[in-house]
Amino acid sequence: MNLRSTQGSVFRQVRSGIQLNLGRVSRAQQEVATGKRILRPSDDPVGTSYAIALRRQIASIESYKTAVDRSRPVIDTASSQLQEASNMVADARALIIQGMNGTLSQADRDTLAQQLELTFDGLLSVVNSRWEDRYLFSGTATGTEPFQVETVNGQRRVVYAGDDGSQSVAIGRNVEIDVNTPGSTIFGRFDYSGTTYQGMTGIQSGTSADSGSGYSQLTLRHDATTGTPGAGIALVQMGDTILGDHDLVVDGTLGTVQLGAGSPVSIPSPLPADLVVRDSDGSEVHLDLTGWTGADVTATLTGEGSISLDGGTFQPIDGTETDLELIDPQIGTVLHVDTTGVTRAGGELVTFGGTTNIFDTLLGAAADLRNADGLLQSEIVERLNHRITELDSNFDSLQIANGNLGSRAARLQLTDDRLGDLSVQLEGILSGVEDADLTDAVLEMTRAEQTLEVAQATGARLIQQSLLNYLR
Amino acid sequence: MGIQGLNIGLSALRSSRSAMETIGHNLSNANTEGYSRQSVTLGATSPRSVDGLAIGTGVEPEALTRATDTVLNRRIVVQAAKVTRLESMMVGMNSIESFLGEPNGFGIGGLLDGFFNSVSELSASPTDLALRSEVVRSADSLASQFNQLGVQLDEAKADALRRVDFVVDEINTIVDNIRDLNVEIAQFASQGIAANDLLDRRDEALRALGERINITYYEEPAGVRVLAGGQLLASPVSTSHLEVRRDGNGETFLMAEGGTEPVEVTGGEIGGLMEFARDFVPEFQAEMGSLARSMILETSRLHSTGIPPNGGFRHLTASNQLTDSNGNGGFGDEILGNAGLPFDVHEGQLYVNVVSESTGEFATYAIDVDPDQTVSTFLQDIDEIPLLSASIDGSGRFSIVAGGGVRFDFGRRLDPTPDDAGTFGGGRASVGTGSGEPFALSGGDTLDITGSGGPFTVTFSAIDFDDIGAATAAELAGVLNANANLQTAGMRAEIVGDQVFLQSVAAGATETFDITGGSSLGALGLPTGTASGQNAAVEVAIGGTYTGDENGTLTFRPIGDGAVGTTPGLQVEVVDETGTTVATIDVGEGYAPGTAIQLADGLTVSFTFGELSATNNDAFVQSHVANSDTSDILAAFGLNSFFTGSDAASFGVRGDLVDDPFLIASSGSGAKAGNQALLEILALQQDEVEGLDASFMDFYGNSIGRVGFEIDSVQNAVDVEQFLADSLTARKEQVSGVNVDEELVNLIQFEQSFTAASRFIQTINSITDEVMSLI
Repeated sequence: MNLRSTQGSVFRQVRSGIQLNLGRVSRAQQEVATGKRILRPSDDPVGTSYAIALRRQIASIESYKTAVDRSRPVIDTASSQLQEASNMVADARALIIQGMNGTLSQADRDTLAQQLELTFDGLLSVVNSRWEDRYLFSGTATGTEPFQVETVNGQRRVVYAGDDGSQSVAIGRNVEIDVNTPGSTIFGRFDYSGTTYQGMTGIQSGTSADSGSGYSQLTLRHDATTGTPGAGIALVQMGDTILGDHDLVVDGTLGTVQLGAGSPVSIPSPLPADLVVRDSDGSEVHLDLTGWTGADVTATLTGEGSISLDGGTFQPIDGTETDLELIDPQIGTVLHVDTTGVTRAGGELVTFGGTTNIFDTLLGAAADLRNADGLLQSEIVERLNHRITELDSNFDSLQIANGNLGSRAARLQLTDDRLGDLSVQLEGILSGVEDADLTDAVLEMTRAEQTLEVAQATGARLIQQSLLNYLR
Repeated sequence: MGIQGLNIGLSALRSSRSAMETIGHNLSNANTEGYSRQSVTLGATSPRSVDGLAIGTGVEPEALTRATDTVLNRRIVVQAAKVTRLESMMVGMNSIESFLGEPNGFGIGGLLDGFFNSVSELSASPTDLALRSEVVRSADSLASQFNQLGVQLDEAKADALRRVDFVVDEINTIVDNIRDLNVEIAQFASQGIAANDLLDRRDEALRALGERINITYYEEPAGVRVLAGGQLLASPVSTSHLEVRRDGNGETFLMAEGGTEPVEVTGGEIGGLMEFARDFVPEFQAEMGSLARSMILETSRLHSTGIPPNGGFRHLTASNQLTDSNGNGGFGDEILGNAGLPFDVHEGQLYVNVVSESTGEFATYAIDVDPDQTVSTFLQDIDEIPLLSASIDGSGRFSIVAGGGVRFDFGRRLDPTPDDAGTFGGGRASVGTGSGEPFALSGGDTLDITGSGGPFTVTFSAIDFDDIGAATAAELAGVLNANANLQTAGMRAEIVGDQVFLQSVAAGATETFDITGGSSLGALGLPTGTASGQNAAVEVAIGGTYTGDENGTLTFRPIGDGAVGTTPGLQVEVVDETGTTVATIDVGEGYAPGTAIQLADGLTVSFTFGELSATNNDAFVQSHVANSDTSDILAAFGLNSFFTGSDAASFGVRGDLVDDPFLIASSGSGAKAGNQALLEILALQQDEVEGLDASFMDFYGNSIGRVGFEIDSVQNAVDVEQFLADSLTARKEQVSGVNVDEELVNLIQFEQSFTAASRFIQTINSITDEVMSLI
């Protein structure tokens, strides 16, 4: 077939040529204007899928970053609060050591006790601190003030009201980090190491195990003194503190009275109605010497007493129990004691080693300093020494928690940086997938424009060609 | 020659004029669509015999032919159907593509990200109201985007079908037109005349028809016969109109008048529209639907077992309605698997906790769920939980209400003090059965006990048991607790695991009772002897968080008798629900009472001081829950769900949550600032989801990619087919088109021959004049 060409086909060709090239120019212009290579999924289906996958990946990184950003101030605040708490505990330690100085007067000790109590209040407010509306150290019970002061058996003690849960956030796929540290592990770890008694009563641990935590007060009460000294000497009873058997020796020749291994006491003249004689353990017996005949006396005085763990209910002891069970139902303490060595009445500070919390130790030290029980200087020092030991073990947990929070803060910082890097990297890849290369796009646009111009120019000339131009 | 010469001249004049008229017709139709160039074929007239010579008698127009190629025309019709099919699909697809908002992140993808981001933010600060509101807001945006997409897809589909109706009307008009042309052309043909212009118009009508629907046609002497998808549309004399019908499933199809089968539409504009409405849109809708459905199910599944920060619920109403499938007016008799619930119920367990508002103490109840049980038996199971009542309202919504002073939830609470009954070294005098149920008692078996008030005998009679030879713990405890002597003696029976314990109601060292004998001792495995209470009761504390992934129980039993922390070699054996010993822990001498001992899967246990007795079968059971609803019944009912609905159109956020964002169940175990449920929801962002076989984002990405790919391949196909169509049109133009210059040349040619003929006539005339002048 011969190739006929017609005006119709010329016009059509010119039209479609211009249309096509105009489309290219417009498309290139869109790319330049939006900076995107993929404007609709059909522009590049594979690229679209990839871009969407990348976007989701970036989004999940963003959500991890959000969690990190939200967690950092919490951990940082907790960390700085713990730092402050550490400083306070160190101050308190210094105060307690100061209190052990033998030259202090009671007034001086009272001042120290007051300072210690102030430190206690400060520490309590630090550990009960909040970030926004949540308590930092109450585990997952963030609405509950974690450390609360309550009075049990007339003693102030601090109880932990939070829980042991830790709240974690996701900072990566299957990677979680704890945002909080429960106060129970920071300020009072349970690492029971045995029961100790601070006192002069001679009480010891029984054969069965004990259950309890922190400090308890054990009271041994003197109920009556029995025995017959003879030689006209009578027992006053009032104020006696001996428990169990104590030998009483009155030497008429030297005019002295001696209780057990205690120092002999000279009998003054006139004969006293209430002479206090002390055994070497400090236990006392009060004697009425007004009827003394002057004869020598060798007798055994026996102190009868009873014992109480909660300060309320007393049960009698006879000095032969090797495993006496004492229960304080209010705080759930079970204590087993051996009373065979008991020689005097008095208070015993019972410490469940390794289970005390800082607050109880501070309160206890303040109480020791105030010395309401009228302890001897040496006893105070011994108790304070003991408090220091407990405080040091508490301080260790505090430092461990502090280090823990610090390393978590560092890990979050690191994660933040890493996620940031990753996000930037992925954004880069995403940009490579869906963004237009501007140089290319502009070049393409120029090329399309040129082609369009050529099409227009040639078309314009073509459509003017007609035989009519030459027919007259 | 005279007259004859004039006749020759006249024939030449007339022929030239017809030729010039045809040229004029061509020139005036140069731009007429479908016009075929016509040309006059001239032929010499029959010669006359003069003097033994065959003298020519002139010229005459023999035929008026149009330049056309019927094979080409046929191909153009077929090609037009292909192009228009693809083009009409493109129109619909482009509209859908434009509201996806991808890949620039303005669509569902971005909102999905936004939702997970807000959940992540909340997980770091679970009690923050602003963040809670943000989670609800972002969830709502996501839901409404799904709704909107659903509506847009529906509309796109409806638009396409409306367009089908319109095109069918056009087809019917064209078909009528073809029939009319058939008749006219036949009339001309009967006179032996080829009606070129009418033929062109018919070809053009066939092409227009081909653009609308796939046709085949046969040119017969009487006219053209047109078939579309196997059904006759036009015969030389008659027409069958198409009509649009919808079948039971709402599918659209075309029927030809008088046809028995639907028209098989494969091409043309209608072909494209129907393919778009029938395949492309529903496929994409189905994908978005399953994405929405999975999103709703998976999120609700995790959320429903969570606990809001302010504790459990006083009342909960299901968001999904039950259906009265058998139409008897009640919802209760339907089985769970056929109660019209949007999600499947599986065989599994549901754990319900009832929590005291004042003390925070709770009891956990495990309910077995079976898809084959009826709704009312499930309701009854919930109802039987103390202080809870369940009901179904008139519209089929299930609801649970807690009694005064308690709340309920479906969380994974861990009981920190599992030995409530004190059957493990507790303060009460207590003796347990030697093994668990069933107990092989016989009717009339006795148990002799000496309590505080003196000896008495409990007799077991067969009527109190379903099968006394296999008595259950509940039956045994029921019989014991109903015994008046036992009550008088200050005693009771407690069930622990599958064991039954006889114990004193009061605690303390002074509480004692004696089991002295009886015929049931063997079956029950009860030891004889004195059981005494104690002042120092062993307190059991469970700590930690269960990190395993199975629901189960741990039973703790002492090995040997002795005091915690004191007796050398005292151990506690830990047995799991299958009877396997998972741990043996030392609690004797050397164990510091109260110290937590690590068990497997994140749990710890501690014991305070007290006496344990293997002789008296001491035991307690700790249950641990990894998934408190393995039956999915909560998600199916929509109880404490996060999203409501079951597809893209019904996707929504539960109304309660919008009103009170504090109802977002963020915690898994009931801790105020717990975020376990949130972290689990967050994990959905990347984890593979059952049912989609991909994560949400991968599924979505693939789905959009697939749409893009389909549109792209249709676009490419349009380009290819359009190119083919264009080249066919160009070929037709070559064959049939009018070249003005050519016509002008022809015009001059015939003008000159007209002039020549005039001159000839003039010559003849002057010759004749000359001759006449001779007269």
